[in-house]
Amino acid sequence: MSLAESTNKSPSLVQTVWLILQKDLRIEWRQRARINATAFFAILTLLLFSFAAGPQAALLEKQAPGYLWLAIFLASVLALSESMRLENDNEALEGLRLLSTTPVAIFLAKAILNSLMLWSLGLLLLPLSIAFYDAHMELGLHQAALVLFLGTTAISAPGTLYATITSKLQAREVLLPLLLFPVLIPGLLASVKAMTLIYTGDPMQQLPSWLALLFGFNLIYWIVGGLLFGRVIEE
Amino acid sequence: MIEGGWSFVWSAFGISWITLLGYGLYLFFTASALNNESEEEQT
Amino acid sequence: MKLLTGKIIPIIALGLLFAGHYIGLFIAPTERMMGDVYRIIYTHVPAAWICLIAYTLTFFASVYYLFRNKMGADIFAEASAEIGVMFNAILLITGSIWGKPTWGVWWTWDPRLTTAAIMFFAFIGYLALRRFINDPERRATWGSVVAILAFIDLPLVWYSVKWWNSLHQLQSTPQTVDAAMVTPLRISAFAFLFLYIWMVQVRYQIGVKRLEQEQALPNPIAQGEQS
Repeated sequence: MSLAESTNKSPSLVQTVWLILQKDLRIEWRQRARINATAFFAILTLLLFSFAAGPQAALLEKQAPGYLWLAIFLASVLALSESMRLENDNEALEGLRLLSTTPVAIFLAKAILNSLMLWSLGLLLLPLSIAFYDAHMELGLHQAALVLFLGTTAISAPGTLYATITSKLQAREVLLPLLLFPVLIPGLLASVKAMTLIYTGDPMQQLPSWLALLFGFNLIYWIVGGLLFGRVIEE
Repeated sequence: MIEGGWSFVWSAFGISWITLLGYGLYLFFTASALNNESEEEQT
Repeated sequence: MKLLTGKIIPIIALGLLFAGHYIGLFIAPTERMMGDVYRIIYTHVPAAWICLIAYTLTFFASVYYLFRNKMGADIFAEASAEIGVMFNAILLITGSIWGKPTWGVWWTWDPRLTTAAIMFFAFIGYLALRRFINDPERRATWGSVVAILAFIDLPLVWYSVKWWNSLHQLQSTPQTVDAAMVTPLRISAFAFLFLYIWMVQVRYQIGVKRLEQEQALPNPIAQGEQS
């Protein structure tokens, strides 16, 4: 693989991230059964919520954005831990670390990959949630896509870090959500609020402030995650 | 003005005291046990 | 090393606690709006302050550990977090008891109460994670990372819950301005502070002992985590 040092000059951060991301995307593509299973799990969760709320259409419609995000959150735990387990099985992280790539690059590549996967999942669930819960969007699709994007990147930054930590432990199935969910609550709140506004309309112009909160959450956790990731993967 | 309410006050204080006491005792006994173990090791 | 040396701090703490709570319960005047129920603040508010101090110190100790790799800092971080969680539990329970007579509900999504609840779970997660890592150095590093991530979440949680709730009415706590009400609050706060100092000391020493025992073991367990 042409990663890093085969050429004499060391590649820039962006190039390194791109190379790792390409490699990971190829692996994920080969393992797409895993991604499919996660997606079906998320869809199943959407269905389950409608059973919990009973067949009251009005109630379901009102709760649609919240259920959509809960489905993404629950599926994200599976997606994150699966994507990290793959790394551990192949000792791939170890290989990357030895290749004198900076930890920041590894973190960014992994977190971007997780973001992409969760974002696609969100884009898949959005029309389904509208169909299941008989909801309809007042605002445009591009705004919904933006909220989904910011919300899923908010999951991915701390999620990548925590999944890396817990993937090596025996109790990873319970520890990952226990660590991740409390930290994600501001992101969840902002995502649900923003999504609700997209469904119901935004006469009071509140959407920008929720997007700003999501953006701030992302900024903080992407920076801190990049800074701390090196210490997490060191031997 | 809310009348009475002493039962709330007493339960709040009671729970606080019990929690503090419980944790304090836990620390005390854990520390003593560790002390004894290390003394046994030395003898 | 002898544990449980120094009896002065716990005696001061218990003395202050007795004084503060006694004055708060029996001598401080009854509040105009709240009646006697307001007296819960003499255990609730100090618990909140000490809880916040404990988490803050855990955060700084964790940052310090990541820079210097001193095991002592990590042991202190765990000790402080554990005691913080204990005060957090007191805070949540007394807050809930406060809520029933004043707002009519056991729980309200007030920013303070919600933030306290989320911090409780975040640090429970931190303590739980540590139980599953057998290698002390790795436990310290990963624990520090988790503690830092949990702590920087605090302002985010606070503001998001505040905004989230702003459509409903924000419940306010009555202003206690009367000096006769403030004095027992201060005494109780110092009592909890001294209790914290004593507990952190003992818990720190326990942590040091446990680390010594762990390192004395011929360590087949430490390999076990790499499944």
